[in-house]
Amino acid sequence: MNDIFANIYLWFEGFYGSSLSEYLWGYNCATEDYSNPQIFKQVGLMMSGISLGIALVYYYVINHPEFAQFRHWFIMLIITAVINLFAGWGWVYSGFINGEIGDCVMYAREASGSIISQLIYASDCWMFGVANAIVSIGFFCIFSLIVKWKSSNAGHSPF
Amino acid sequence: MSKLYVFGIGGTGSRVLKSLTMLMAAGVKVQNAAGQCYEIVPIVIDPDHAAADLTRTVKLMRDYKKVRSKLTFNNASKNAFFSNEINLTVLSGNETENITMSLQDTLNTNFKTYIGLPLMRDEGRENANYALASMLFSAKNLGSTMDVGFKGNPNIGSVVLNQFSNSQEFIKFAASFNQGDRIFIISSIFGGTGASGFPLLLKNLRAISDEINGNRLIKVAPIGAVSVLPYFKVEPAAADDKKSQIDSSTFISKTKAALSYYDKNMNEANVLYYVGDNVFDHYNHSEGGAEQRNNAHFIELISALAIVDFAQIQDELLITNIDPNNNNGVPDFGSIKYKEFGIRDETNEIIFSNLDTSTRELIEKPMTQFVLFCKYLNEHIHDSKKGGRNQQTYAIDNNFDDLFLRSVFYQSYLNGVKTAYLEWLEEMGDNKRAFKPYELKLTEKKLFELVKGEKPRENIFGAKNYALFDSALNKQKTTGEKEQKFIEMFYNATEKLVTKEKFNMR
Repeated sequence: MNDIFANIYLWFEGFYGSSLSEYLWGYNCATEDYSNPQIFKQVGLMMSGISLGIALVYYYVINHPEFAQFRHWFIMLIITAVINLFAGWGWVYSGFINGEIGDCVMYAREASGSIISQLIYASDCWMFGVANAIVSIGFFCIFSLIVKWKSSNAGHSPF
Repeated sequence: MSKLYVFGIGGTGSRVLKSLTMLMAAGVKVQNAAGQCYEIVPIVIDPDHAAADLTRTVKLMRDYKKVRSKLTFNNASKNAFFSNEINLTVLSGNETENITMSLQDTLNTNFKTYIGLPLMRDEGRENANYALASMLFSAKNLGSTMDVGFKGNPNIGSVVLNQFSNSQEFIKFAASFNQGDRIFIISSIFGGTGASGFPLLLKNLRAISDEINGNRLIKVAPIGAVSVLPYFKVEPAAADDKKSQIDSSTFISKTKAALSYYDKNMNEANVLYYVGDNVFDHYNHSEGGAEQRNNAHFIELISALAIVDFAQIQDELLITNIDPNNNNGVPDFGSIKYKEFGIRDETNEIIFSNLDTSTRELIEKPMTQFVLFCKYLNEHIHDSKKGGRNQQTYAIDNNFDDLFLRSVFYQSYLNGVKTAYLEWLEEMGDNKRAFKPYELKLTEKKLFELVKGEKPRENIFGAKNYALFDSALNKQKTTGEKEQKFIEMFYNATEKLVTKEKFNMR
């Protein structure tokens, strides 16, 4: 159960790379195990919270007869994706710039300790944001189907 | 269900019947003191079968009946639109719809021939009957044709209309009359057909032949009547029109003469309503036929309200006995009631706040609900139907789609009532004195500003205009056939809008 979000995000590992994935799994360079908090789960919970929140706002707060067509739902979907893009990027990027990413997953080093290459770049954070946005689209669709039924005006949105 | 037979005599009779139908469509109930709705049986007495006022009324009633035939009324349904049943088949005695009492020998003949004036001769010479007839009727009267009515000549009408108690329609009417049924008569006092028809009809009802089935019940039936005093004038006839007999300068003198007659002779009705106005519009000159298409008038609406009022009077106050002297029905002494109508403010453009509270409470809410319904159908339904640009939940859930909007129920009947209702309101608004409680031409963005003198409640954050209407519709859950659900949803939604969301109507 703990790994549900991780397994979902792993479908998009090609976007953000295996090194960032290690960090997000919670790899601890000191103990060489996955004993750090799992970022996938944290970001996943935040992403699903945002997606559910926006779905609830759309169906029960806005709940407007002139904002109840597929095109309007699609706008909310895009908003959800954009928010999650920045939320996912922000979460990981803050770890990136604050040096929270373990050295062993951040750099490839020679035995002497000199850096051969950097394994995680800021662009990987953006790509994780993209992955988060894509996952949030799926979650928003699922939440929409779950919560829409009791909405008086948008109950038939998106279909 | 008890029946209320409403006799509409002449053009005014037809127009008041139209107003009554409009009110009933909007949900004004014609019901007794116990709250039970009457079945309305309209009967028109008018030789002018082609009059546009009559044909418009007949079409409206047919459309109303067709719409109502798809609706059910029970405790589970709150809908009050189209509450009263209209029975259009009593006069035919079968499924054929007919609301006009036929008059024999009035088509393609003149009055002289009708009374047999050419035969009033002895040995080739004009006899005393001829002389008497010539004295009572002018040469213009005698030469007058009757296929468009009596053209303001009650002296002709009182002769010709005296025949209708022998007609098959009158016999069918009498046979259908049951205990608990009532009769109401609408007529104008200043024309020809109404002024002469009303006393004759009343006399024929109270002194109905013992040979006619149902006669005793009719003799003692509660009878109410509205006599409409002059409320419009007619443009003078064209200078080259020498034949025309309609002259509105005689309306007042005719009214005085008729009132004088009523005062002495009309003691057979239980309730008499008098309505009239001293502000007149001038109608186009027309002797009758398809050209007689007068705009709807506030007076006709008030006359229709007289019917609603009459229906609510308790039976105990409408007792009629058989007079042992002549076997006619006579209201209990002291039970004859005379009623008039007044408005609160003297104004040439009446709105709801100018009406007395009781009148306002009777019509404001239902009329506003129905006008909102009609405007929605006119301006918004194609947007919110299933498959529309802004299809709504209620439309999707109930399949209110193009197919439904093309159905006979919607396209012919409901659309017919809707168009007539809006036209009726506009005509009353254009007339003098105008009854103009609604601003019908406002844009969709000011939908709820349509009730003049009523400031709609503002809700800064909520849905507005038709979006609010849609929202109210989307919250309705109804059961039954599609037509039933459609009407009931709109009734419930408009009720919510006018009593809670935007107004505080009661």
